[in-house]
Amino acid sequence: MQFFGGSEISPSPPVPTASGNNAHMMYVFNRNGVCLLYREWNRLLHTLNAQQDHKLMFGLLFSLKSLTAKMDPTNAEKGNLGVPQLSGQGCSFHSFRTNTYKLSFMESPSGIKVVQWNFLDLGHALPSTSGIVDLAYGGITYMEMIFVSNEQAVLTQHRKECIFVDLGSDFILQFIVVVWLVDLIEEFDHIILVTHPRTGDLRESLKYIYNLYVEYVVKNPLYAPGTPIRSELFNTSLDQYSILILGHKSTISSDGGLFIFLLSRHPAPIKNVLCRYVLLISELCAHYFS
Amino acid sequence: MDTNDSLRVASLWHSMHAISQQLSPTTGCSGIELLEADTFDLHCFQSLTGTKFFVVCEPGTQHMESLLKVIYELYTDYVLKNPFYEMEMPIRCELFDINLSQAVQKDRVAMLGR
Repeated sequence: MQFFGGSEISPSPPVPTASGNNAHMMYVFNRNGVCLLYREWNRLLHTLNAQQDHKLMFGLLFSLKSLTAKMDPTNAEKGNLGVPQLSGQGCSFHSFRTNTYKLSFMESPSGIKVVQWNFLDLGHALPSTSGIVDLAYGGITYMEMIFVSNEQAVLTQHRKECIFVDLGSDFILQFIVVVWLVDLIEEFDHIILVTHPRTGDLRESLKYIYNLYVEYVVKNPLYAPGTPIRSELFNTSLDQYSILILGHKSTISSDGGLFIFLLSRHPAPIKNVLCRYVLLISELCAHYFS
Repeated sequence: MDTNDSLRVASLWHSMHAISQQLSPTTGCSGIELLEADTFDLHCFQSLTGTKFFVVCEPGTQHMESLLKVIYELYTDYVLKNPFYEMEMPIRCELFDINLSQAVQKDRVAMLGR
């Protein structure tokens, strides 16, 4: 079963995928439908109260699982709709996408379900994206973005404390950029790239979160299974991981550009460092295009 | 899967689609477009009237949205314009079936060509 191929918990989170993601909400349920954990980093619309929301979420997951088990074209013998499936049994879905969000789901053999929501942020209206970023990080004092036109590090747009990077929609180029920008993490407290609408496969992320759960929650002798999780260590490590995930996002603007947001809590001379990196990036672009 | 099962699955899908819209964290959500499972992908297209078309395919198949749009056109041409077809009833229009298989065949050939 693919689940047992998961990684060990390690002090440093795995390298984020090239397309990054834009996590906004997360649920963890146990097999009886009790919501053990609900975290939100940004949620603009609350339609129901918390209890009903959790119940509805669990109901949706349960029904979708039984639907996929029934619709599985490879399995000859199918149970009836509505019969609860054991964790490993039958085909299960791992994600679904709507036009505004993507939901990723993972179920452990013990019935623990981890659900993660990502926004498909198209990055058009910058004020709203910076608003989202602000909400997620409250207390950000300084924000800068870089704008580079294709193949050349040209500061073509400067808007208050913002500069934008536009490297075109070439996926490979974006990947190279992300790899380069990974180096920037050591320099700043937080680095954020806003997401590509086509968010990648998040199963590795979810497995990592599950490992965190095992380490900090299950192994905690004072934790009673089935009760909501109130572990400080778990919450901090989850926040750190989500910051790191949120730290690698890129978004495509309407004209195919790539927006990169860099945030720091210090009004340090970011611009100089950034310009240095921007030149490096442009050299890379030139090399790639030559 | 017999007819009863297909009806059950379809009504379950309809409710799931609506619930996913309600659970959306932002406004303007129009329901599930793509469901990725272990052994198959399910693409869904919703028309302006709320009729949903969904297609089950191999994981990672591209261009299903265009196929769904073609199927939607076939539906409007051969089903809705059929004077003997009653709304909300199962579709038993021969021309629709023939054209549907042709469209799927064409898509399969086009996919092999890509």
